[in-house]
Amino acid sequence: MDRYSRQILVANIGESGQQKLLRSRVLVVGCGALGTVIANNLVRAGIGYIKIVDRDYVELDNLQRQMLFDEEDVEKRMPKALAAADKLRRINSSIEIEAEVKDVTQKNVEELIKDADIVLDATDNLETRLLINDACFKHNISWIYGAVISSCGMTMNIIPGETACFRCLVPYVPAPGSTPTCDTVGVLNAIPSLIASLQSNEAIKILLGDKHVNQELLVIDLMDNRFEKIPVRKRDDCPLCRDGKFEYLDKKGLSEPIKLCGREMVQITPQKEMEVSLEDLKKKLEKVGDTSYMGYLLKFSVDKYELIIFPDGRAFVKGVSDKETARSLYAKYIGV
Amino acid sequence: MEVIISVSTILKTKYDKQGELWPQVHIFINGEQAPAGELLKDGDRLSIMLIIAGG
Repeated sequence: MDRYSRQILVANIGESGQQKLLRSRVLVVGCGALGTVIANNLVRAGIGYIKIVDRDYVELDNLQRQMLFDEEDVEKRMPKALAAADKLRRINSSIEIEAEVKDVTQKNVEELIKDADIVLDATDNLETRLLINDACFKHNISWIYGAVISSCGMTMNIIPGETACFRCLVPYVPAPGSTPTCDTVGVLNAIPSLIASLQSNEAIKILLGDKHVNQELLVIDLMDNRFEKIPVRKRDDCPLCRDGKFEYLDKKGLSEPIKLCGREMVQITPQKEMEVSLEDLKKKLEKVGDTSYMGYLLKFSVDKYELIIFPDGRAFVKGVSDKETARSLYAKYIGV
Repeated sequence: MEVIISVSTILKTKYDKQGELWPQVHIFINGEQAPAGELLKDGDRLSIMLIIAGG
């Protein structure tokens, strides 16, 4: 317990609180800018069991803000979950750390969350968050939304039966391209550190049963140093809170990647029909790669990949052989 | 009438092609979610915010 002595001294924790943390089980979904800071904080705080899930591998432009990775991880193209777990075990070998390299989907989300006392969101898209929201609501598990972009960040504790749920904030997946991403508008490295630290601190409070748990949406913009706490009401028309419909878990709202036979190409089709402004999307993407707009489709090339995007939100992702990478590229550059 | 308006710095577009607000855009008056049709009063603080997705 010596390693946690400074934390034990904090009035609301003490020896019994630390024992509680050592018995706790946490799932961190996503291991990028938010996930690395969350995992680092929780491992050092002595959460007894931490599982990290991520589908991606480490790239050079991650190092600016993804605190557990280094140039060797980039060189080896290490999967983020494994690289993070390796570092974290060297930080605290007395707890259990598990890493899974996989995409969180409607097929595996319940299995992933079922043993967790709390789920920490560090994903990069709204669709996965809506899925986590359904699964956590169904299994009565609290989760903590966190997101960042540019100089802005926001976080909210989602406690089933107590607070509004994520569908009260985002009732359905918006049209592809309508949500800016870190890969299209950038991100400062201070904002994910800040939001992730708030998330991990709220997680500790929830695990301890502390009464000072935040019940509002906390919004921070570091550009104008704006900190706002906004109460979020449950929506009267929320399909999850009001009607108990698990539409994302039941796969009615999710986009489905399809590997096209014999080709290095995956097709992603949004489940809901939607209209995408390819002209607006082109303006966003031309800052980060080559684009050409032909009126009926938009071609976008970045690194070794090419995305062909149609006005109904459908996209062919060329240069990939697996669905996970295709979904990751779609979330990064088109954004849902 | 003077209303203080704060728009999320990353918010470029708020409406889809049908003129509907994107589902992830929220309007808050004085820090509380505004019901549709809510009228503004002098001195109200209007915030237009985008629920973001990066991580």
